[in-house]
Amino acid sequence: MIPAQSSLPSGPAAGPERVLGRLRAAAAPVGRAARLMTRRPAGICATVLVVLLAAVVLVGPWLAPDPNAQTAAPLTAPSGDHWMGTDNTGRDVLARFVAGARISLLVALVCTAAATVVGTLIGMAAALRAGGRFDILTMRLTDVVMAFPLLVLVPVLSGVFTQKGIAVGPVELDNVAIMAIAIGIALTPVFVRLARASALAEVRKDYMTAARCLGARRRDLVFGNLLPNIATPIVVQAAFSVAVAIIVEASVSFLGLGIQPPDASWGTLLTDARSQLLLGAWWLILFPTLGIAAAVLALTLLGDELRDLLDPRMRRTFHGKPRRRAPQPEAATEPAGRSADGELEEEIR
Amino acid sequence: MIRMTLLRLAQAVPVLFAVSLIAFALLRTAPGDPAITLAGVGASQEQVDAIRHELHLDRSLPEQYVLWLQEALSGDLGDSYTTRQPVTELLADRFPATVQLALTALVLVIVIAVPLGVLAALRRGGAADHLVRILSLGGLAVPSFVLGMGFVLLFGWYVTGVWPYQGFVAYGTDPVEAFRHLLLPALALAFPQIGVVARTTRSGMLDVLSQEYITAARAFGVPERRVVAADALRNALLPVVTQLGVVTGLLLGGSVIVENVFGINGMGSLLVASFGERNYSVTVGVMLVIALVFVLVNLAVDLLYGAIDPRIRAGYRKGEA
Amino acid sequence: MIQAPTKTTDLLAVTGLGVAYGDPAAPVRAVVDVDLTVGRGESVGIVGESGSGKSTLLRALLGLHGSGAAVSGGIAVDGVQLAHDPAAMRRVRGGTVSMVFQDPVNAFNPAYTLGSQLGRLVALHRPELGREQRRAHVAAMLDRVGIPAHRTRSHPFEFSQGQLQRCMIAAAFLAGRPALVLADEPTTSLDVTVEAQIVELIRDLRAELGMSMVLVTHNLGLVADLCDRVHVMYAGRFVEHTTIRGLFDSPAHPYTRALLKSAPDLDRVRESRGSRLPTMRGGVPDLAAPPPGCPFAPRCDEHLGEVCDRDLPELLPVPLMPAARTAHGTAPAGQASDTLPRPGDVRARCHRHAASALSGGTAVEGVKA
Repeated sequence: MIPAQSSLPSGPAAGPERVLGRLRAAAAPVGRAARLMTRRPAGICATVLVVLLAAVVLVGPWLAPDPNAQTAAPLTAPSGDHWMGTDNTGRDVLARFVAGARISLLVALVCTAAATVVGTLIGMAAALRAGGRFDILTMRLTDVVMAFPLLVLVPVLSGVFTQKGIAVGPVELDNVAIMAIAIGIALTPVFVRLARASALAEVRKDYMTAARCLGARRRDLVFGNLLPNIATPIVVQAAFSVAVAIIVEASVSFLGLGIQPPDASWGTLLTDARSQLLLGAWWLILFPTLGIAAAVLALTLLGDELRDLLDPRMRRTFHGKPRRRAPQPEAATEPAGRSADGELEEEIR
Repeated sequence: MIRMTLLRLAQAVPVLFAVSLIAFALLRTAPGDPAITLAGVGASQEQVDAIRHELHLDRSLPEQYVLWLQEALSGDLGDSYTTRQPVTELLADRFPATVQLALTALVLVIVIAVPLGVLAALRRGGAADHLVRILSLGGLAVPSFVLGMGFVLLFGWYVTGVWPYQGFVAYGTDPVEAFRHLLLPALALAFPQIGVVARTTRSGMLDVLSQEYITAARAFGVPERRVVAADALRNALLPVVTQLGVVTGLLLGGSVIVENVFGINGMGSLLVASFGERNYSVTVGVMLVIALVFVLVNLAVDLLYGAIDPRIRAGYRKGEA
Repeated sequence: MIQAPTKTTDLLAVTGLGVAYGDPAAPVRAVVDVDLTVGRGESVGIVGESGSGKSTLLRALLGLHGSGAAVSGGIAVDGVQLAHDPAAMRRVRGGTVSMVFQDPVNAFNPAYTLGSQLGRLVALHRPELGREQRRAHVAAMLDRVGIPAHRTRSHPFEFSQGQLQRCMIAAAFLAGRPALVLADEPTTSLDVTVEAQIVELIRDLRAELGMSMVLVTHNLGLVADLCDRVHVMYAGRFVEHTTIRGLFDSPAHPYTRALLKSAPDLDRVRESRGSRLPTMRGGVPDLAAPPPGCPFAPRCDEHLGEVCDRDLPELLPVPLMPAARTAHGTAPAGQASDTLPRPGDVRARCHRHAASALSGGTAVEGVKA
């Protein structure tokens, strides 16, 4: 491979320009999605929810009081002073909700991002050597990880390592990091399989053969041709996986095996709520639930919309004859967007 | 069919082997020295060494694994660090509650989701269709343990004394009470899956109903009821059966959480308790049993799939797949 | 034989049938104002290119048009009106009127053995048979169409297309005692050699059992082989009705002539290798917004001018014309197709004929040979 590489002509644009072009190609679907996202009701819903959550995470901590200050009367229902009430130790639930949103969403985003990147790379590598030793080993490994239900694997991993403690070099990992790693490990096999299956289907297509015959280098083939073409299902799956991660984090933290008190996450908030249920403290359960529901709905709608918008087949029906879900007026506003999309698509291929 | 069963069993063996390897690795990674823990406070060095020898901790790691696997295969997963009770006994004690909960939930999913999905497909845009859409979004958004807490709040605070919301009664002792006790947790557990399965059923039915053989059955005078029940449903259920395998795994995993909301002493509460006591032999035991059941369920689904779809059976007969 | 259709003995009488899809405000009119009668023992062909609405028409006859379609007009079988009576329609299906589907692979349920699928139909339409008799009947059915009886235990995917089409024919012709079989492109999905066998099988079964048939196809040869008379369909309407001999010897409508010209013919291909087969320009009009005048006007080689673009012509009797040899040659020697059309047999929907009918003129002028 290496000698072959040097004897092949390198592409016309070298260095930063090619990197830039590749980045632009990779970002194209996202930009296109963002433009189209706001054209359908579900897309608008998802966008609004995502913006709201981002606001809570980014701005919230500066506005809300200290989540661990026990300054108020315990177990008071929502009022003007405490919009989400107080818990049994007199902490403000709104402050804990905001702090919890940060950790819950952070864990979910980080672990999904890691699982997506790692899983996609492994999956592509396996597909390129399909049937080889690496491929077989990878597939068996995913089988093994998938032999455990998520809600058993994650609590066991995070439970054991939180109690044992792990350090990366001199840095002792806190349970937020351990939690992210545990969920990340559990989510990775899905991406490995997805990337492998998509890449296998793609490698057999003519444009890949054509690119190879034209003397493209392996690295360009993989990142320039293969990756952009398998990106759609992976991006969509990533959106759904963030939603899954949020629920897994909440469930495991609820068991007491994830995020540890006094750190707040939506899961630990619900743990606090459980002991007060029989005292009728409805606000303790309602608000974290709303947070989880909003985040999960936003990401699920986002995933659905992304799938429809990025899937070329879907897009054709979307532009041409409107589908049942896409009302007529939207199709009428399309032509301008269509030509732009067409160009972008050219650029990717 | 037999050939297919054997083939699939053979494929499951390496997975189970790797599962055991991971379980063993976790057992040895877990913090603390099990020999010291088991010997108890104030035990002499000799006693600790004796226990260490009994647990094979004085051997090399590969030897330890082989001996542990041998014992595990013969049904000995070691003793609980705290109560000295054999782990298998503890598991056998707690397993039925989890299985009964998960199976009740599975039945609820099937009984509610499949007819709902069929109705939604037969009357598109009707009430059932809307309900499916709401359920599938709501089921995603509200985790089962939160819904369970909602039930506890409702029946433990607002309308008390109407319906039991805590504890477990086995079907073996009193079927009616068992169902009463299991209904709320099973419903909470089933809720996220109902929408998903209903949606799969709906799209499967829609897909099948547009097939030519459905039109052909109608053209040949087969009554509509039988077209739906015999021709459409059987083919539409193929994807549903696959999904029910996944769902069963999710229900098993979910019951770990939901048990803790409803005070049911099953595998889930055992798992949580084992961490509290740093009782890792029990932790690993729970993990192994659930993984084993999970793998077997998937195996069963594959076989069931073959039973429904003659093409898959034929594939195995010819030695493909 | 052409039987003079008399109102009382018509097995099938379709009047003013229309099938429209989609938005009622701007419907896609797949079938418009179709009149069709089929006498007992008679075989009627419906030809047209794909998208002309012929399959839609055939399915609508059995009420199989799907929930998205609006059907208007009358469908009477044996004098019983079925069009707006779903229960009556269902009683007729399979027993009195049955159907041969185009693609046998998709027309059998993949989950059940062939024996059980045929057995179910026999049980439905011959309830007097017991379990053993039913089994024997299924075996006899398969035997009659040339499938070994032991294959009742096989699933559809274990058969070849041709074998499945034989089974489909067994189901349609032999499971009940149909008086009428609707055949929707029964040979289109098959190899040429298999096609000939299937045609022979259909012809034999009809000769044996004497049922009527409506055959929908784009294959003119098939019509010549199996039909007594033929309707030519274009853009959802019948544009010509003629006998088989009339179809090949003296086609009246410009569309029919174009259709004949663009059909590949072995003799002609051999003579003129290298030259191109004539094709019809353009395509079937948009059925959601059909042209105001004659639907064929935009593609017509014999366009008369403004009147064709403005007015929809009526389906009118065409004065008999001498058997003009067309480019296609005379009709292939079929059993029933030797009869020359008689007065009233040929009708066409074309301004050219309307004009000549009014002026009492003789034959069609300007036929391009």
